[in-house]
Amino acid sequence: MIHRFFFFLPALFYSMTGSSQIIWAEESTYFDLHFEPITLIAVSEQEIELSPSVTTAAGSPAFTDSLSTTFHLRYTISPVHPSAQLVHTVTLPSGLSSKWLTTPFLPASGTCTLAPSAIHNETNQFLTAAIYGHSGTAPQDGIPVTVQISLSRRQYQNLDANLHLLNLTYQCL
Amino acid sequence: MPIRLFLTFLYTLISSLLNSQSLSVNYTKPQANINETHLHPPQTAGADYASSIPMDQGAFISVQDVRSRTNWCLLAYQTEPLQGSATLKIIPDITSVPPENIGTNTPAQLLLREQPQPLFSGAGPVDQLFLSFSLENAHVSQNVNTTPIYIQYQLVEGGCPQGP
Repeated sequence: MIHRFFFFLPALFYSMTGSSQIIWAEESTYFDLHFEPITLIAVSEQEIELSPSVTTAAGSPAFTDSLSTTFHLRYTISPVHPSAQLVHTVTLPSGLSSKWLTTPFLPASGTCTLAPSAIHNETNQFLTAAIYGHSGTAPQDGIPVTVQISLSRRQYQNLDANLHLLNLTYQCL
Repeated sequence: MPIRLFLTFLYTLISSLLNSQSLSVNYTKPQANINETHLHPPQTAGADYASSIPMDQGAFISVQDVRSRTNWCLLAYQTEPLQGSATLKIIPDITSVPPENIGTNTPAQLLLREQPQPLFSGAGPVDQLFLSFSLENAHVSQNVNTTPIYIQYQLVEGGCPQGP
């Protein structure tokens, strides 16, 4: 009888605990994991070129109807709220008309759509476009964005080579 | 003779059930922070979080009221998953306890899941076993704001099972 009881005890014990290992102690814990908001925006160095870049035999450029520049935009931005915008602003000298060209792109992560290409005329110095749904990261090689400025022959001749034509700023709203 | 053996077994069984082994977990900080220095490369526009981020968080584990040379296993699991594809890794620092307190099959690290998994195999009482944490596979577009990390620790009798 006692021998039978010896075999019965471990079985009873196993059925009581429901496991082959007894839980001696258990502790519930928690700590907070805080992701700080990130807004990092960078624009590659831009260089304005004549378009089309044609040079006459005399060494001076032929008349061109526009100047254009393409630069690369990179960003890392935490999602802030659903309708957040990344605003692109180009400041131009008054009297110049301009337009900017963009193409949709796939970000490295998150979602992003550039606002449509736009033309901005005459004296208004600001050209603004929103980049919607900007959470995430842009590709490491950046997003190509082109700004094109139309010039008359007179404007072209009066251009100061050292003048900073474009002042690009980005702001996360 | 069989009766004495039986009584000894019964005493051992009951005493093991009644014995109150204690487990305590103390985090070094109430909050761990992730910021732009954890991007890869750090502080770089266009970069995402590094695939593995060592966190500014640690924990000290103490197991008391255990007989010396008695084997036990510490298991851990999370009760709520992290945002997106992020996971938490726990690394026990085996140099923080004397070698005689380290049991067999102690895993090098634990990727936290919702099922209990072995974290440390111990023998006898242990004081101030240090755990470090790292964040795996976090993304800027998925991981935001403040998230509570709930971790449940279990102390079980016997050593840890052999890992895969």
